[in-house]
Amino acid sequence: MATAKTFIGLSLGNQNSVIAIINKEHQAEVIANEDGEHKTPTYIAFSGEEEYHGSQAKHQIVRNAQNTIMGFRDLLGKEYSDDMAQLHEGYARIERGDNGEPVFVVTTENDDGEQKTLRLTPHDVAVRYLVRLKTTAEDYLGRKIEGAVLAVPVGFDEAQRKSVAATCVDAGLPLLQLVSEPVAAAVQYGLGQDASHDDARDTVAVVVDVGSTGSDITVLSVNGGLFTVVGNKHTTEVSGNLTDDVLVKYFAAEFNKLHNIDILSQGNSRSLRKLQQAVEVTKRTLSAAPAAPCAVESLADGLDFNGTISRTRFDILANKSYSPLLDTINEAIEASGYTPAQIDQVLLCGGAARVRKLQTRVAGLFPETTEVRDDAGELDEIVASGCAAQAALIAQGIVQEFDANELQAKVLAKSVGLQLSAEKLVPVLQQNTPLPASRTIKVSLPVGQKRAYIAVSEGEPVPPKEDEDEDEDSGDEQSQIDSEPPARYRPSKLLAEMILELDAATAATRIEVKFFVNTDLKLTVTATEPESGNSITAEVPAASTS
Amino acid sequence: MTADVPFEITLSAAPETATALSEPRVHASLSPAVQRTISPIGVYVQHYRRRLEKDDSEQTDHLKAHADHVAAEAANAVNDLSLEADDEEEETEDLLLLDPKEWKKQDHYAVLGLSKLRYRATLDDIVKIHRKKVLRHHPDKKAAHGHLNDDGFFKCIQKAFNILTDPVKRRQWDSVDPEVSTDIPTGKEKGDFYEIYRPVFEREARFSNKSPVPELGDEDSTREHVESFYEFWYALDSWRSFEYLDKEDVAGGGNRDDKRWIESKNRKERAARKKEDNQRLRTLVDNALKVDPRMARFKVEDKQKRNAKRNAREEDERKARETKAAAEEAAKKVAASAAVQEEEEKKLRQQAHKLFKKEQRSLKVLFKNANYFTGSETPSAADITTATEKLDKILAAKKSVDELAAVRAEIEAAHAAGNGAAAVDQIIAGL
Repeated sequence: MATAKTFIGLSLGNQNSVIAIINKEHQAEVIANEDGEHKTPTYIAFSGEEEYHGSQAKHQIVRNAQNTIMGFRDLLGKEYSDDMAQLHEGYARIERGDNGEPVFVVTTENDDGEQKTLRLTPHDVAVRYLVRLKTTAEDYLGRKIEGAVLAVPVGFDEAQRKSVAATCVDAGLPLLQLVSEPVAAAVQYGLGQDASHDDARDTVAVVVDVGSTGSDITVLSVNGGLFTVVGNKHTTEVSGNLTDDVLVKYFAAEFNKLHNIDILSQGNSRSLRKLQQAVEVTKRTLSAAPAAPCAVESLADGLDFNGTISRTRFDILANKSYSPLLDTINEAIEASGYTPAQIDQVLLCGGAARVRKLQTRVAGLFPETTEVRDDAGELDEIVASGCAAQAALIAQGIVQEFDANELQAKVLAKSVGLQLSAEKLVPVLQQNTPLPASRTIKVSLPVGQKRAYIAVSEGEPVPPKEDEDEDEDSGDEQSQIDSEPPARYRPSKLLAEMILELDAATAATRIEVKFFVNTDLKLTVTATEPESGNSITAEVPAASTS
Repeated sequence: MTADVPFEITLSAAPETATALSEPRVHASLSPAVQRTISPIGVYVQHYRRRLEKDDSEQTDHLKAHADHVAAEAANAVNDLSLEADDEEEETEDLLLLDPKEWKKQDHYAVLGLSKLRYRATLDDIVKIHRKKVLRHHPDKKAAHGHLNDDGFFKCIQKAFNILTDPVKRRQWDSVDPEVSTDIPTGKEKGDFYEIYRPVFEREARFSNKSPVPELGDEDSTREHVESFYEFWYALDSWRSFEYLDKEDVAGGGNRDDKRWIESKNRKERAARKKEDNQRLRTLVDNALKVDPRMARFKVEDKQKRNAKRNAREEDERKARETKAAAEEAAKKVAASAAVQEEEEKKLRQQAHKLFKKEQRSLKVLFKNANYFTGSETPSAADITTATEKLDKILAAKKSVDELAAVRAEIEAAHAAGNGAAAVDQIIAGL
């Protein structure tokens, strides 16, 4: 194996960034920054002549908010708008630049008290920040970084992606590839690996990424190791910050009760920010423990605050705030042409997805056959690890013909499979499978039959049953497993039928059916009896219009 | 997800409408395809890309291409030179009875079963074989078979593994590995130079801090290669060191002074060994250089080249000398002939002078015999003086022999006629 190059995976978040390296075992490993933290807040602050990054910058928002820049990633490659200025109210001011781009305005002061105004575009800020991340990684590894795989939200358009790439160039970070965050997460969850001809591991997954400032729901179809983003929905109605707000309100009310000081009122922004930082820790503790304290020294008027909240209370308070997320998930699935029953896996990521109640609520949307997973490591490090995993593939030379460009391909509009009955279809080639595609399925014959009747159909998802809950209650666990699971697809259009006569001499009861669709949508179905080699082939030509 | 369905899929019986189906019956075509973006991530995309470019009629997709690729890689991996299962070395009784306390004396490579590969074993090899050994010799495993406290060899394995996986310690051990010969050819061996020296240089190359180490080469190596080879080896930067042979502070019980004494002794020892090793290397290179047939060839070539130069120079000199001698000869000849000529001229001149003198003398004799043309037998002294003065005038005026002879003849004739004195006066008047 050639000497592996020094590549890293980076997740540049709007709130937090994570660096993942490839360790000796060629596994992704998240590293700690100079402050000993696995995630580095995406903040830059200027105080005096100094420039602060990460948590040091984040602490500045308490007393130096007007010189603290945050949330600059989402502004990369965007035009100035008043919404932006509004969103960044209370932090470094945003102005319209000469070319219509947003510009952060911060003030620095040297030892002589001379003030200087710095005007930084999001690009400038991101370059400074990335240089710092790169240095952190290089210090850790002791080698120069030769390439990085960077994750960006799936919703980033071409201009934003280009802007991120330009930032990397200026920061001296050799960019290998920009990947979409949910795809990187899916890679870290192990999707699309070990696909083989016998087992293509076709999976439909929903990536639920609950970030600090918003949530991203992405429907992914993974077919034979190829990742296709089918649908994506973004909502700002559910986010880590909003969940924090629930806690802030709770503790603020408690503080108000004790000392009759309303820190939520105007003019108490410093107290508010102190509390905001404190509840982040409280929330994280709650994901692990049934109760968590919240302590802030000198919250307001020199008064300390000590509060506790139990998980149950928190769940009750925050429960309502999760509903928009569930709606968004449903919308995303529906817009992608699926129903929850077709979703094989739900992949959680983003730090705020750690909240237990949120996880149960999400799981409640799906039938029991759907796996809800949070088992790929720390949820806020999954994306970076996925990036590093991809970087590792390139570094080890497993991906030999690396091409960072996205690929436009024809995919199947509808699932194609074997029609077993008017109500049941076994999908062999799933919808959204990139073409050409070939899958083989082994089926057995009905008892005593020597003729295999093969009906090939296009299918559509079976709409969820309304009385699902009833079903669950009626049968006990054992019988649930013994009975066949409910059909997830039903035939919508019969394409072809044929009969394979089996060799009477052999006692074969199983046959293989191979489906192949070429790029021109010509379907070939071949049924073979392995023992005798008898086979029959049906060719379904492409529709003349296509 | 077809793979996940734990139930055997059973086909349904043919419906009434299809019982007599002998040929496949096609009802409808697939719905039009949708364009979607595929994220370029994972190992399969490359095969999919390749598959898209290829538009053959084969009914396979990228998964087949991937499977083929994996199979090809696996086939390549088998061909790769690496530690194979059947390379495993036997564990002798002696080896198994090693005392872990005597770890300094154990052969770490032999303990791990790498005594053939030795310093050529890669870290990968060591880790792999260590895993195997641990599986076989772990005390837990032995305890399961009733051998309690039988972990001596396991400790040896761990010690060997610790040393061989620590780059510094491994170098220290490799430096003094007793199983790798440090003998160097004396330079007096008979046989093929390359066969004798190549393995030695290859063996010693492992100590080089710099890599790649130039190879000995062969008969056809260029002069630059050979010269740079010896240059490299004379300036070899070797990491060989002798810490492994340090004497230990016995049980660590000694006081500070003892420790310092041992330490300084070790240091001296190390330095001495290093010096010796450097000398050994130098001797090796010297010996090689001495018997290297290529160097001999180069020497001969050099000599020829130098000789050719000298010959040319001598030739030039000889020619120059010859031309110079010839020139001298010619000059001498010219000079000689000139001298002869001069001699002759001188002779002639002397003869002429002699004649002249003779003529003068005969003129004087004539004057004397004619009694100075006084006509008397005893001329007076005054007459003689007058006549002599006249004679002197004539002699001073007449410079050539012929003139003198003419004057003498005239005077003689006149004297014979008896009027010599008048002739003399006439002559003087004619002057």
